[in-house]
Amino acid sequence: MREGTDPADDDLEIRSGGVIAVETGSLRTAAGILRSLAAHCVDVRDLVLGAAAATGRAGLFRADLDAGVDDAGDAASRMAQALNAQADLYDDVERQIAREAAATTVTAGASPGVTATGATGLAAATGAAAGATGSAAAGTVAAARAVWQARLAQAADPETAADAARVLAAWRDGRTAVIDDELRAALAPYLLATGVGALAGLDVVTGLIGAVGRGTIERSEPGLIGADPPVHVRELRRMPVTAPRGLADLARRIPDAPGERVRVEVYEHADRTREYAVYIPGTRDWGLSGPEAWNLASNVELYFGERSAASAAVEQALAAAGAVRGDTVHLVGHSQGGMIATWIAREGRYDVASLVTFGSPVQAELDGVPVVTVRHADDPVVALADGGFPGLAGGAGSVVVERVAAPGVEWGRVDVSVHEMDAYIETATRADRSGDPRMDAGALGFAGLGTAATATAISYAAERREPAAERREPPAVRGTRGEGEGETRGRRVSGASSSGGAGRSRTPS
Amino acid sequence: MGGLAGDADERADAAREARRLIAAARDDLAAVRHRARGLADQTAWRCRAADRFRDALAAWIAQLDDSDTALSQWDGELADLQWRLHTIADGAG
Repeated sequence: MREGTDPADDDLEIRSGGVIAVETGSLRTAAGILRSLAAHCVDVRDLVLGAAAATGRAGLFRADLDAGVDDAGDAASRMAQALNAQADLYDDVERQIAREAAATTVTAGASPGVTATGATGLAAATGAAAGATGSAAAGTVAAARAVWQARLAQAADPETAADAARVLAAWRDGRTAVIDDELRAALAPYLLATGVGALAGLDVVTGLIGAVGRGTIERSEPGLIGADPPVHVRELRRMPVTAPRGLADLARRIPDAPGERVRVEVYEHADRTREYAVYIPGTRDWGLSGPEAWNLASNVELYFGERSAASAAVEQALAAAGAVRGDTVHLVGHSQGGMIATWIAREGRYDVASLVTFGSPVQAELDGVPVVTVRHADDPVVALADGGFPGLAGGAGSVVVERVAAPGVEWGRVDVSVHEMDAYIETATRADRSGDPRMDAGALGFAGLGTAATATAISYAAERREPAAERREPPAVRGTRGEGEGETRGRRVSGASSSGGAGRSRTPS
Repeated sequence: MGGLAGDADERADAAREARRLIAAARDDLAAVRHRARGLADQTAWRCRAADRFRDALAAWIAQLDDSDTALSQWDGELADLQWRLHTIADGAG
C-alpha cells in the first residue's frame, strides 16, 4: 500500500480499459525512462569512484566508499527488464483473451436466437450457452491455450508469468464470479423450477447474459433502433456552476432531486465555443407503464438497443440547452443513465470528449472516446454487461475503476445497495484519492471545462406522453447479436425538441 | 614546499578534488532522483499487477535518497579533513 492511502482502498482496482491493469505501452515507456536513469547512474558511479580515489589520496579512510550508488544503475536496469518482460507477457494475455473471446462469440452467434426476456428467454439462452460446448471453437480455444501455456513456461520471470496467468484465469473463470455466486444462490429456486438448474456447473446467470449478448455493444452495431417515444421535457431551474474536479464530483452531479431527470451543464469559452456536460440518472420507477420516462420499460428497451422515452428526453434536454450535432459533449450516467450515455456516444451525433458510467449494464466499443467505467464486481446490474470487453473498449485514457462494494455479504443474498449511487460515490471518492495519475481531471478529459468563461447548470424534468390512442405495445426485444438488425416499431416521433439554446429558450416544449 | 606542510597541501588538493567530484555526483544524483520521483507519480497505477513494480521503484528511490545522504556525510568528513589539513599547513608554515 502506498503512503497516504486508506487501507480500506486496497480493494480498489483501476485498469486501463481492458483486462490488464496498465497499458503495456505505459510499461514500456516507464522501462525506457528507467534505462535512461540507469545510464545516468553509471555516470554518478564514475564520479563517486573518482571521489573515492581522491579521498584515499587525501588520507581519509571510509568504510562506505561507493555511497550505495554502485548498484543503483543495475537496479534500474533490472526494473526496466522486468517491466519489458511484464509488457511482453501482458500483450500475450490480451492476445490470448481476444482469441478466446472471439471463439466464444462465434460459438454464441451460431446458436439459436433469444428473442424475449423472462423464463422463456432465460431457458432459450441457457440452451444457447449449452450449445457452445464441444463446438469447433472450443478446439480453437484449447489450441490457443496450449500455445499460451508454452509461452508462460518460457517466461524468464516466474513471478511475472504467474501474474499473467492469474490475470488470464481471473478473466476466464472469475470475471463474474462474485455476482455469479450471489445470483446463483438467490435464483436457485426459480432456476430449479424452470429446469435450468439441471445445468449444474455452469455460471448460470452470467452464462445466460453472455448468451443473450446485449451487454456489450460492438463497433458493428447500429445505433438505437425505432422512433423516439413521445416525451415532454421541462426546465426546472438553472444556476451558475464550476467545472467538476474529479470522479466523485461527477458522480454527485447526477440528478437526485425529486422530479429532476437530466442535468445539462453549458460551458461557454471566451471564443464563444461551447462544451456540454450531461448527467443522466438511473431507473426511477420499476413499473412498465405510467408517466415516468425513467422506468423499467425504458430500461429494457435500451438494453435491447431500442430508443426509449428516457433516451429521447436526454436528446431533447441537450437540444434545449443549445447542443447541436457536432458539439463537444461530456456524458455521465448511472445505470440506465449509463446506457443512455453509452448509446449517445455510440451514435456519434456529438463530439463526445468523455464518457463516464457508474454501474452501467452495457459497455460499448468506442474508438477515440475516453471511457471511464466505474463498476462494482458484486453489482447485479453490472453483471448484465457480462464482464465488458476483454480489450480496450474506449480511446486513449480509458480506464475501468472496479471494487467489490460489499465484501463479505452473506452468500446467496444479492445486495442491491451496491448498485445505488451512494455506493458509487464512495468508489469514486476512493479513486480520486488513490493518487493514480489516470484519475487526474486532465486525464479524465474534463480539465478544459475549468477554462470556460461562463458555466451554467440546467435541470430538466421529463414525462412520458402516451395518448390512449397510441398505446404502445410491450417492448419488442431484439434478438441475440448476429441476428438481423433494423427492426423498428411504429411509434409516433416525439415532439420536436426546442431549437433554442441556453439563454435563448428557457422552456423547451 | 616539502615535509609536513607539503604533504598536507597534497592531501588538501586531493580532498578538494574529492569534494568537487562528490558535488558533481550529487548534482547528477539529484537529477536522477527528480526523474525517478516523476516516474513514480506517472506510474502510481492503482492496481495489484503493478504492486511489485511500485514497491521496487519506491525501494530504489529510497536507496538513491540514502546515497545522497551518504555523499553529504562524506562531503562533511572531507570538509572537516580540509580544515584540519589547513590547520596543519598553517602550523608548519
